Amino acid sequence: MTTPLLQVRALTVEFGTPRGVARVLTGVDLDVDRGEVVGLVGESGCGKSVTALAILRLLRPPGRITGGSVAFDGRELTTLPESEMRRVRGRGIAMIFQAPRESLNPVLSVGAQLGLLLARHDGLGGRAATRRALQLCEMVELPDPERVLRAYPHELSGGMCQRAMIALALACRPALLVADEATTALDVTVQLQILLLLRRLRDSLGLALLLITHNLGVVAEACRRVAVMYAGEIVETAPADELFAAPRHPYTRRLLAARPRIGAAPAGDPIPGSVPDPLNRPTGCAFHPRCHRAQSRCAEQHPEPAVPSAGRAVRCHYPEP
Amino acid sequence: MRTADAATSAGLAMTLVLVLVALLAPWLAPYDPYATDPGRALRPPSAAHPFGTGVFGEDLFSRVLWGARLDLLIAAGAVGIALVLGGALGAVAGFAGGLADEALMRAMDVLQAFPNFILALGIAAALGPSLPNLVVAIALTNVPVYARLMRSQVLTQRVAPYALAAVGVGNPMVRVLFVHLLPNTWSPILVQATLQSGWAILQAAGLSFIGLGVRVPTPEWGVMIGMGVQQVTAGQWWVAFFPGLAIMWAVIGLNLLGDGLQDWLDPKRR
Amino acid sequence: MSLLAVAALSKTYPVATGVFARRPLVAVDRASLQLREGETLGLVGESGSGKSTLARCILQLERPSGGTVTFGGRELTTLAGRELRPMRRLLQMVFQDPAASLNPRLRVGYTVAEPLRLHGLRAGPAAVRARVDELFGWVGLPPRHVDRYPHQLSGGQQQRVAIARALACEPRLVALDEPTSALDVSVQAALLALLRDLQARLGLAYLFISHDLAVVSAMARRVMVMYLGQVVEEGPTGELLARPRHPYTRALVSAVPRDTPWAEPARLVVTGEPGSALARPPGCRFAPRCPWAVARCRDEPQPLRPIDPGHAVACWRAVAGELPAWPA
Repeated sequence: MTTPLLQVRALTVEFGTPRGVARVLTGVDLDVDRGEVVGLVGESGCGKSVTALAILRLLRPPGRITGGSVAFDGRELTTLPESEMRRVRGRGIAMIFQAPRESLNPVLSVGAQLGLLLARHDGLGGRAATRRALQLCEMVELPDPERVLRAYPHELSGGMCQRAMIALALACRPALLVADEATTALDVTVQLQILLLLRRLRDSLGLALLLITHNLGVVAEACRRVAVMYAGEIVETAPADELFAAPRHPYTRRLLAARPRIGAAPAGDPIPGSVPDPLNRPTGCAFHPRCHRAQSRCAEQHPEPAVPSAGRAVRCHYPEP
Repeated sequence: MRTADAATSAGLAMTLVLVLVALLAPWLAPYDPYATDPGRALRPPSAAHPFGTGVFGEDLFSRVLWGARLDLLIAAGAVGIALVLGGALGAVAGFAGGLADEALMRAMDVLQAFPNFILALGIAAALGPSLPNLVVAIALTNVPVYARLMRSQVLTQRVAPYALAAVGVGNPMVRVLFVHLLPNTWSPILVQATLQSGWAILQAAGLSFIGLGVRVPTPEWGVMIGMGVQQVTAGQWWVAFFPGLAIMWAVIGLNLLGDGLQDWLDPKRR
Repeated sequence: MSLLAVAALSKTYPVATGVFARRPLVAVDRASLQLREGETLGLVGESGSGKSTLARCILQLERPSGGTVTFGGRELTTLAGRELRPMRRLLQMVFQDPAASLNPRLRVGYTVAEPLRLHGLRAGPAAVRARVDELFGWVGLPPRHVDRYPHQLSGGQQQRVAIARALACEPRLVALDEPTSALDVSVQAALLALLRDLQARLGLAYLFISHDLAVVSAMARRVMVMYLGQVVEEGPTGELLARPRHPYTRALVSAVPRDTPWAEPARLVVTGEPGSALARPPGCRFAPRCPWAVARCRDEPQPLRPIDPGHAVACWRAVAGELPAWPA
């Protein structure tokens, strides 16, 4: 068994606030193998974006990593000096974000931004850079690449900006691409195009993908393995098929039931209550106040991940059968 | 305490001191600001005269304290008039749109085409040097700023969903403007007003310094600096220094307060 | 007798394309629809489809450039301010961004009470307060929230306040513009259930706007699909989703992310994105992206034509049976 490309263990992140210290991540374990597409799913406030930023060490104070490890390609990232980390970003791990137009520099044309990147990381300039830029545009299936390279972000549509951002992310041939809600702000037909593009890129480049989303449909569409996140920790990990067929964690089960499905009427209040305040976490299991299967043990003891079968993990004292 | 909070608190404190001094000047000042004593002219700072004495033997400490009254009055008056007049024009322009908007904004363009101080100078010169004219001159030059601010605020808020909802629920336009839009527009304007008060004090001082504002021997900081400028080369630095210091205090205090006011006025802090 | 009848509604914006040049942006191109009491019509489309603009024009939040809106027998487009205001109460809207739709400086109780006072629906502060408490109860908000400010509430709670405000007007029609798009899945489910419940209790008609077909299918029995300002298909929701006739509807249905990883949905993946509504060929606006388009599609205007009972399509090839069956 080969070691995973990305191995996150017990990652904890805290934010200092005027009202106290908020533990936003309380011990995240996550693996991504080479060429694998893993989905990180959770609702707002669960900490999935923070996880991505922590992996890339892009957290700004008052947020900081307070524990755990992030191993990428055998190297420990949390202790790397910033100069080394800068080489990992872009070359090893790249990231694309939710609002593509806002994530691109508004005063530079797409070609200029690509050029800067190519010059810095690969030392390419002039015609070599232009050739590579056109190649990248083709790779992300941008129509009329020459026009796009000359254009500014505000002149391009959302889908084209997202493709441009993917091109920028892949310019230095990273092994892992982290996509943080990359399709959320796009129209649904464009979303499908982008998801299919990402799948094709995975096939052709052997790219590993960490898709962060709140949309279970996106997960069903594109991911091979899924990690479900709640209140700063991973509550369930499973191959996508198994997760959808037989979710073990009560939160996962309720989340799947809450999806509006074509033809089915929505359930009442599938998950009563609301997400816990990171400054005021429940004792024991973070989900127990809202859980339909909770018992006294759940309020007292924090569940550790149990491994019911190969490739699965559940943090629950009384998982669904 | 965060740096920003400390700065705002400092600004608030400095401004409060300024206001208190202005209010209590008649009781705090040891001497009549107009009283002269030629025998005691141009004495350096001492126990009897903390800021020294001026060309005519007047006590500079008392004059600086009384100056606070005048300059604060001028600033408040000028900014107040500019705010009300400019705000009204801007609100009308933003709300009505169309021809009214164009006409008003072009009028503002004309006013803003002149450098701020030159315009104030021109108006003051045309009206004649006196206290009310000084206030009017400074007010007029600042009207365009508030007009534009208010207009852009109204334009932004007008299409906000809550404004649409207010219309949808059945509010007449008047209520939409006064109950919904305006309370959400004046926050940046108030901040601007606080910041501009400092500038207004500088303008008043500047105009008086060159003789187009209040005249000697009125205790106004700009006039006092004018009176003291010649003394500097003769070595009597204190005549111009303390009024200058007072202006600095006022402007810094108001600016710090203005910077912090933005956050303080945000309803999300409640 | 329909509650709402919209005929050939159009909305055009003049857009500056040069220093002096103005070109018309046709946001809504002759849309027609009908809605009965207590009924829900789904309005589906992506960005630029004109669905939100259509709703705003129906509610007279923006004035239509053309067409008519008949509500309860009265023609709304010709009503001026004073006559329109009492009518406004009967057509309410719930917006997409709940935080932005509530005045941040007003307590939510005041926001909900405002229509009661404006339309004289309750007399005296005690009656107003009692009604506000009642409305809060209907939308599932605890009474202590009445004195809160919007930013102190969660997204789901804010949206419930917006719904309470709409209900305070005692409307007959509520337009819901993507009411749950900004919310989490679990919150969304609860809110949709609430809306259905309220409809059953109060006999409200809903105009339910969404880009999410799954959500629309849960809420509306009839649905209308829009693309770049034109209505391309209209019919019973189940029928439309199972057997979409218009190529764009097929693309839209295809794009819904699959339910489970092993599902194999029929797919029509269209390339490109909706073009600008500025450059307009006279015919079908989907033609540039349609795999089955021919010259006639681009050149001739395509009105809605019935294809089955209660089901109409704006595509002559679909009506003529020239399109391949779906799913293939």
